[in-house]
Amino acid sequence: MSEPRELGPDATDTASDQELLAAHVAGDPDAFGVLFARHRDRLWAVAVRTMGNREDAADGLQDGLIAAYRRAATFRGDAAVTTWLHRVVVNACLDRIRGAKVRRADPLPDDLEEYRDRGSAASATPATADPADLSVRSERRRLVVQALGELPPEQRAALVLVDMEGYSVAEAAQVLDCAVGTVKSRCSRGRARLAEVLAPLLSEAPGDPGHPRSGNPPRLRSVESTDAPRGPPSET
Amino acid sequence: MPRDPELSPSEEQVRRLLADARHIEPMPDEVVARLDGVLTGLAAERRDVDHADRSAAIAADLAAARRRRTARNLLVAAAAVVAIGVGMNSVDLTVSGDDDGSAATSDSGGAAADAPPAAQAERDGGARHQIPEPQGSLEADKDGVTGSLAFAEPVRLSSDRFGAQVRRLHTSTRTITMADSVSPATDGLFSLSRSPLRAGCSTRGWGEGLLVPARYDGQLGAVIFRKATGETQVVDLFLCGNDEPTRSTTLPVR
Repeated sequence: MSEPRELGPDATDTASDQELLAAHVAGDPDAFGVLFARHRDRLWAVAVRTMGNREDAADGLQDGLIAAYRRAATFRGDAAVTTWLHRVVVNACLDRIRGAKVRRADPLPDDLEEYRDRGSAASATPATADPADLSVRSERRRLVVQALGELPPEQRAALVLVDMEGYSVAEAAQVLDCAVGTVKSRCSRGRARLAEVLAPLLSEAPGDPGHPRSGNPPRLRSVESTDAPRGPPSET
Repeated sequence: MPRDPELSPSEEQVRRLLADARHIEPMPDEVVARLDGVLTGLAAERRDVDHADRSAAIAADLAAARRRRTARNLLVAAAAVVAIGVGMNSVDLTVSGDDDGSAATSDSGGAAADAPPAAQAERDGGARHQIPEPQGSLEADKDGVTGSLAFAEPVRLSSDRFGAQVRRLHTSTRTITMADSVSPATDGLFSLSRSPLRAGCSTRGWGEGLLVPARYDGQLGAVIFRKATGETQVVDLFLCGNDEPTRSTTLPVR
């Protein structure tokens, strides 16, 4: 980390992430706000997908924000500042999930309502997309997000970082503070589980998930128990 | 998204589904406002903590200054005792005048009476008197008495000049009584050192006051300066093995 110093009002806009964090540690009252504003949308996306809904995401992000603000001096500089921020936020979200503080029964992630109207900005616009395609896509997203929410939190967080946010496995390992092999394993198991649950969405052609079948959407299977089936009580 | 050759076709499709379900909306305004409020609160909290830290630092500085003052007072008292030691031991307390004579007539006592003892000791610089090496250090002794400098030998007093000698001693001990770092022992007596009295001399029954070990006509004892009352102060002389004062005199408090 560079030498801690406070930044002037103009310097905060051009300062690097590390400089902003160092300035915050040195007592600059504005540096952390600038740093957080730079990364908040991506942190928000991770939080929403990890938590499954906006309210819990806001709570988790707030926990992470407070933790990062107060623990900034512990940043060792062995990773990018944005990686460290993601780590703090993801840990805060996972802590909330483990503490059963999340709103578990959310039938429809809020943002998917927006997609229903607008579609994905990455590939379609309301002006050009076929309304039928938008509807199909929105439904598919809903199913994917719902299935993702059924995964164990650690597998979910790994898939959100690697497959949704596009982090490399190595970067995700830094965020999740675990080994690269652990991230690979979590992603693999998570994808395998999703492949089962989302089988009706998967086309036979590799890499080309097709439209959902006509009629009612496929029913998601509940999480199976890993315990051995219980036999009838023995008669003694 | 490039295809990972390690992934099975179904896993690859899952990966594409997940990428397509990525959250791309910016943080809602209400959440931005909420988190901005949290940041404002954190900044205010930080200012308060910094302010408290600064206040604590100022308090620590004041405490350190107090300690320095106390140490300075103790050193002044120690220097005074050294001067007394010089006055009482290296130089005979014998005054040139009668018992009721003025202390100003004595050689060394007059100088000690007219000038602060520490200044006197410094001014003398050992030219006229050999300043004895301090005995011990500025630490609490077994009696809980702070300081153990000087008085390697008891102050020598004589019965025929007791009054004048005590008046000179009184002038010097006023500096000692002002040193707030000198605390009373369990018997209520203040002292900078009782080592001359340790050989079986009990102070029981001697009452409260500032104790100065003394040898009165060759007998071991101590002069006790009582607490000043109004404009006068009583000084008692006790001899070891006796709980009644052998001599007593009243001095004006200047």
